[in-house]
Amino acid sequence: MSASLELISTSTMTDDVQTVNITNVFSDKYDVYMIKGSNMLGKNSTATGLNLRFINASNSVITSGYTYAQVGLKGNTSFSEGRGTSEDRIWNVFGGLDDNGQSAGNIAYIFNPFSSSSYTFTISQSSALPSGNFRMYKGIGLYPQTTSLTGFQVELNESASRFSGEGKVSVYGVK
Amino acid sequence: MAGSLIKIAETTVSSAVASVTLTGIDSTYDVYMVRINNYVPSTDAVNPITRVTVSGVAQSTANYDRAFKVLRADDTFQNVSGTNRTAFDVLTGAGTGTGEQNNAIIYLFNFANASEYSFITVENTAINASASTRGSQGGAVYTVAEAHNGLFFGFDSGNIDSGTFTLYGLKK
Repeated sequence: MSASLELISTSTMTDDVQTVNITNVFSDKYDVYMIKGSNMLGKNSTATGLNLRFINASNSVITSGYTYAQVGLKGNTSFSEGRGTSEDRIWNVFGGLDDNGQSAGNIAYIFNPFSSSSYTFTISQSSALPSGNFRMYKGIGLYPQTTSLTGFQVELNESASRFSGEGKVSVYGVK
Repeated sequence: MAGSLIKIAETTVSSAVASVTLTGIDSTYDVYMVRINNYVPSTDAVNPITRVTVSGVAQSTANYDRAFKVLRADDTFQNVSGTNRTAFDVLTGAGTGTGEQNNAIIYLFNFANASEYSFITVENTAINASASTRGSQGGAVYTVAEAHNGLFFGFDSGNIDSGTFTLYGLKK
């Protein structure tokens, strides 16, 4: 019997950059994708969200128009609620990071990204230790446009933040 | 090397039907996964119903307990719980407006074990009948110790207009 989780690509985070684009991974071959992030590390002490933005068929990063809701499960303080209907990114899909030496990981599912007739939905959960404080984010996201999306950007929202080169992001098709 | 997520059954609804039942759960795997995509009702403002099946027949006795958090993009989050219900009731209320649909990943535990209850975990992302982005994160249990061979999907009123429902086994 054939397997139903098919690896499409694995990308290594470029050292010393704020964003990494992962292009040409969504297609008409699958309706649902799983994204796995592992060993995500920062290069400096600025704690930042580790977020997702989609890339359209023209390879342009979409920098607005997202909806999200997320619960932050925090080891050292009260849980938080994050939400918004006009966001520039889907927050913390990949977690959060800085240079504390403890890497972040995540699993996310993306529904309908390539479809030109349905909106794109996300589910994500991530686990990380930014600034030495445990954070787990469980969230949902939406890009409410019938735009065919072909990839995504892994983004650090803090301008001073940079990736260290170890992190890997894999994309799978769920057949 | 062969993969470890094995597709067992899939139903795609392209013209309205009253319900969908996925079967094929047995002792081959300990844990199963269901993927729900583009789940849309024919009738506006209805609630998705999910039930376990015995020999393909949906079980509607009042033995379903649930607990989950509803993530809401435009409002404070909700804690939802309940016991002795007649269905899992863990997905988002559904509508027929533009873009409104349910998507979910559900893991199934102990379904084939006749001596234990059947548990699920749910991650759901949706637009509800009020065009608001919602998602449930939590789980539920059916508190009858019997073997269950599948899951039933429908709405509390009207038909399923569209959707793809897929059952996978996670290889031991």
